[in-house]
Amino acid sequence: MSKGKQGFWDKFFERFGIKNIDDILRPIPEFSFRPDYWLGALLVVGFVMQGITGFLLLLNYIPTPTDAYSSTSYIVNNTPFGSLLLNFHLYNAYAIIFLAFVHMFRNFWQGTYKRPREGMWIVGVILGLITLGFGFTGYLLPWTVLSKSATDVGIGLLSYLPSWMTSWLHTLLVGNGTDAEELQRFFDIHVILLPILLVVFLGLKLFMFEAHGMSEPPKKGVVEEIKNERKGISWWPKGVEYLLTISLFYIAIIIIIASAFPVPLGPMYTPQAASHYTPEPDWYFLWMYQIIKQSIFGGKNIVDGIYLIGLLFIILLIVPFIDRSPLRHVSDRPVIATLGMMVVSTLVFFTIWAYLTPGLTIQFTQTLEFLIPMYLVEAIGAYLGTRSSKMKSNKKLTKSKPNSVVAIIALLLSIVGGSLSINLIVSKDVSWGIVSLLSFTFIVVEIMRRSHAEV
Amino acid sequence: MKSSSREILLYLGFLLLIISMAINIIGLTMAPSTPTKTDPYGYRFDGIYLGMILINLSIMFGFYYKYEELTHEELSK
Repeated sequence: MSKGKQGFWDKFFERFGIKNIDDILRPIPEFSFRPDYWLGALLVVGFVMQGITGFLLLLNYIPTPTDAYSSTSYIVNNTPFGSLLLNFHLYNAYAIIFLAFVHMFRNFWQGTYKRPREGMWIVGVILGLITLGFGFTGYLLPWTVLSKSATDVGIGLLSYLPSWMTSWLHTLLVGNGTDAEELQRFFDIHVILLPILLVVFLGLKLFMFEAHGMSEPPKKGVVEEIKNERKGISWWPKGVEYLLTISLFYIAIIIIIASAFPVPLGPMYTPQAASHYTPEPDWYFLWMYQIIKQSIFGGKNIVDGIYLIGLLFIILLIVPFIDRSPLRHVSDRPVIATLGMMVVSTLVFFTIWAYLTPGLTIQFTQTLEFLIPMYLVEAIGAYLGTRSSKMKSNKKLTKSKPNSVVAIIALLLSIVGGSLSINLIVSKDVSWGIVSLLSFTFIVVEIMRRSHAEV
Repeated sequence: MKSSSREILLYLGFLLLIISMAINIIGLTMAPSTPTKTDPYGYRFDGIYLGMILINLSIMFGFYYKYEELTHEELSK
């Protein structure tokens, strides 16, 4: 921006009290011009595109049980670019959910949730839940037999929980229980409530992002200083050019996929048609579906499965307070990183397995036969990786040997805790089994963490 | 590579992009935007043309980003 004669933009921004265009947003550090640093920005672009396409779909969509399906079908078959619009909305939603998972696990790996960014992690998890809420409520709107049956199964799960916990949610979602009310409320939540929550929490996250800036790439054995420097390349025009490059590419890929592989609408929902279908949730809920399908959560025990899913989200929310070490590099926090790797592999594994076995109850012993070897391989891999990384760094630093006594105690505790928990779970005492498993995991993690900090 | 040859390559890239953009815009205007009985799948091309136009634009911004970097390097010498 020229400092001499005032240009149009200088005069324009002067009206907002901005003397220099560079002051609007904080500068972007040079190391962050890599796509993985822009996943959050891509998610914002994805949400904006959902808003635009959602508005265009609203021009023709009618949220009543008699017209929802026919209006959706009208959009696909009669509106110019209608099929593209609807499929873009669908694939973009899938891309947002996928990117949100990638963004979260990438931040987990990089340890960006550590001081002073704990709040950003918590708000991010809440935004993730809002995203899943969009998926859950939007799935019902075309009123196809699959979407309605799967949504009803989801709502039905609430009835297993104590009424003080879910009665308000049940009322919010289905009102007096008629199809018309259910569809209307899902529509209202999808187009009004969730967008408001999204804007509020996204605003909060962007505010915190502006306050703290981008986290530096983690360095082994180094605690990141909270410098809060405003150094780097100005957001205008370099940052905008980079954002346009990656976001236009992202939008283009979604458009091409949406037009090359349009998803067929499927038959309209009627109670008769629903009786011929096995309800199955959309892919991003399949891992939860696989948990519920475990034989140990059969009958009345289904409530334990729901509690377990709820507990997993709570644990996710408080990750910054579980992993309290200030070190961020993955090799400096092997236990937490291995646990994270186990969670990711379980999510992927459960999603694929649930997709392959719709409606089938899975024997828990069968699940253990798959999970235990997978976890063992990951744990051994992580141990060997950490050991070789330590050996490399020990050449430079003469530190004390790894505390083998603590490692043996932790291993013994894992074996005792694991067998006790599995015994409890298999003998149908699921709640105590999960409590025991979590308690032992916590104890082992704490022992390893503390011993690691002392070494 | 010399910076002058890099600049020529970038200009050539811009030219190719404009040609590609023109082809895709013509394609977009010709493709049906709704399924018809005579052409039930032709409407799928509208999105492919549109996507290609956006990819062209994305590459164009990428090129521009690189071009600015190049001219910045030249100026700072």
